[in-house]
Amino acid sequence: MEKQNNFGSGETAVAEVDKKNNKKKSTGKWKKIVDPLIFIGPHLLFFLVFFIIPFFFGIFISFTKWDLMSDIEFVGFQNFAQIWDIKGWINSTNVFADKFFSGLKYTLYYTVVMVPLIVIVPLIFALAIHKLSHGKKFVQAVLYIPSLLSVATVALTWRWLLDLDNGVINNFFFKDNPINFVKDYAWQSIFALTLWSGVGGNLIIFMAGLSGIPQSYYEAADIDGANGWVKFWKITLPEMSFQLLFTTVMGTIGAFNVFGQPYMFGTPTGQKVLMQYIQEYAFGSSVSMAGMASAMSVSLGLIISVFSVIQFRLMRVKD
Amino acid sequence: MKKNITKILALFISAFMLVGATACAGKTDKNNGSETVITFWNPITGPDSGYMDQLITDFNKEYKGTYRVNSDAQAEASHYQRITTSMTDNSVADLTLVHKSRLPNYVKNNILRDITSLVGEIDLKSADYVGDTWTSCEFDGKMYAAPLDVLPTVLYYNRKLFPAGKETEWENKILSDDFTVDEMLDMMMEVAKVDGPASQKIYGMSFNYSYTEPMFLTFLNQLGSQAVDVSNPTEPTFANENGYLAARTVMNIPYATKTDKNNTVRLGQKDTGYNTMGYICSDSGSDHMNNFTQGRALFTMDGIWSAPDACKKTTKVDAGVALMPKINASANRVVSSDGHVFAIFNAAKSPSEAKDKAIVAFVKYVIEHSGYWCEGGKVAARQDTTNNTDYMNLEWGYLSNNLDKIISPVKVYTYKVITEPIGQYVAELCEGVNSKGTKLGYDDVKSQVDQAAEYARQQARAI
Repeated sequence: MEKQNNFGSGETAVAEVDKKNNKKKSTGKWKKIVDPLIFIGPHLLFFLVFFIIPFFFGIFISFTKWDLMSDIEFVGFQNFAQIWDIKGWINSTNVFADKFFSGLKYTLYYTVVMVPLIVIVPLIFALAIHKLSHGKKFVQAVLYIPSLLSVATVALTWRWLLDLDNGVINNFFFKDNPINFVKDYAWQSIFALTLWSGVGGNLIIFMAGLSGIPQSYYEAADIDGANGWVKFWKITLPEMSFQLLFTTVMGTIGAFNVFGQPYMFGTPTGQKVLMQYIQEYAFGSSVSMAGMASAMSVSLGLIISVFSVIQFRLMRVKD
Repeated sequence: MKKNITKILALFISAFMLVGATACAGKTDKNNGSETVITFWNPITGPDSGYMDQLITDFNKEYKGTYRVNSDAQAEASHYQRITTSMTDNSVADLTLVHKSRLPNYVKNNILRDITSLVGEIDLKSADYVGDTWTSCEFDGKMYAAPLDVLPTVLYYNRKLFPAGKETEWENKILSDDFTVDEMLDMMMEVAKVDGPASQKIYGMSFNYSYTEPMFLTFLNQLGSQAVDVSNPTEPTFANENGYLAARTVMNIPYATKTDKNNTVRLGQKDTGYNTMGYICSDSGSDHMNNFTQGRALFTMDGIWSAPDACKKTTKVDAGVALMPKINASANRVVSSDGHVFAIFNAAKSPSEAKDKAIVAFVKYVIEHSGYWCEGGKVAARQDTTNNTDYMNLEWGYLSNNLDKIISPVKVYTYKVITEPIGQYVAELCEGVNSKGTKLGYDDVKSQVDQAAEYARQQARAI
């Protein structure tokens, strides 16, 4: 009887099934939301705490006068007016503009020299290693190892190696006429050490890009009688455009934010990069000028954005 | 099942990262049972760090089970950066060691704790301290710090490079009150070996290009001037003839040039250019202390904290310590200085009476052992340290009897902001600003000093 009763009420059974289905649906909905959150949650949390909040707080600080100790005073665009005072910079009457533009000048100098180097040299190495029939991994590893070292370690090691009086390089190779790398060739030394330590990262990216190019393209080009140069320009470079865009944009952003190498190795007096002045104003000096440092930082951020957009437009891959 | 494991793994990783982030936020201070633990931040990372570490180890051993000091030392710039950034979330250490030149700014911003009662508990008295070491910690009758030591700028000299037969004469001359920069330049000329392979070069002076600020301030002090006046804190007082002379004198050392107005009296004028940088005096790009400790320089200038390294006796080095030479015959042979003081910030993490007791015990312990501390390259600030024969027998021990010649920073909140720029501008002169090199004249020097003053003025007004 009971059984009959159970099966007897068809409407109740349908309702129960619907209920179960609805429950499943709603659980499914939640699952769709919760499951990805579990995976991306930690990253989102870190992104929020260490990027989004400081990002907006930094922008806010740029409109204030704050020494990190006393109360924050809102000053509007005053900090920006000071650092973008072009007249004051030209006439050397505004110290803040002077530092900002001087810092920007040497940052640009570093970027203009370093970005092509950090893209072209690893590309050449990658092409050469790609052709190797033996020892590929070994050469790759040798070139990659310096990338594992911290900027501070690299800069200080090079500083000691190139020391005028007691450096290994001068004592071995230029015993009678030592070269003052640290004073007369400071920037060249910084370029060299950055290239030495940075070549490995981009090399790996280019190696991956090269191995992704179908061999059939080259075979077809061979049948058409294309020489190596034509194959490089018509096949390799276009096929590597994404890697080139990525390394150029990331290299530019990194170069604009350069700090460790000039700070640790040392630049000639008065030739600091912008990040050094930002650090000085924020923390390095006896009294912090966080507002001024933030205004410089925001301005640098805007400049980097402009350069990145230009690079994207120039190098955009058109399907 | 597989999905669940993945979820658990993801949750575990999230929790792990959060725990990691919390741990990175800073070590907490704990009471281990009845033991009170305090954190101590200090900028002692040079050759003197071993002495502070030893003092802390000895203290922790002596007070085991009662107090414990967790020391955390960082290089000077990072040390102050950490203090300022920790101010916003009240996580500064329980006790910090700072330079006394920074005290006026801290006191003005009301971020230091009045420790008059703690100083009383330690039984520190004004009469026990030399010079103005005590008063530099006192503001409106309240003590905001406890003085530890004095850090003058000094001249290191290597006796092993004295010419034969002139050892006593030169030593007496260097230590006499009348020793001038010109006499030092003459000695540099006599000792410098500029011929032969570069690796065998001996410099008259291994110049410290990053130390031009204290050199300038010393020469300015010798002329009876200061870089800033208490009555007008935002106005630098060095853009004048005294300032120009002080800057030119610093610049003349690497160029081995005497202090005439137009830079015409260049020493050892030869076609070979021996008088230029890199011959009589080392060029920038060379480690000044390394040259000195390798026995490759007669003189070098640095802070007293380098003494443990500079004065290590080797086959090539037997170093002595003197005050910086006089800028000219009519000046006073004084030197600029700074000093370490113990302070407690209002933003110290969870202060308590128990911690105060631990702080009192520790500060008292270090001050009672300041003789040992000063063996690590310091000049003692307390009168009774002169009874410590171990310290007084050191090359720099005698300076404790000459504290009237060691000038403290001006007690004004803008002092560091005003004095910092001049170092860079004088360094530019020393390195031959705008590639003018040896052609630098009075107008160039004046222009650099005026620019430094303008820079300092604008910065001081902006804070």
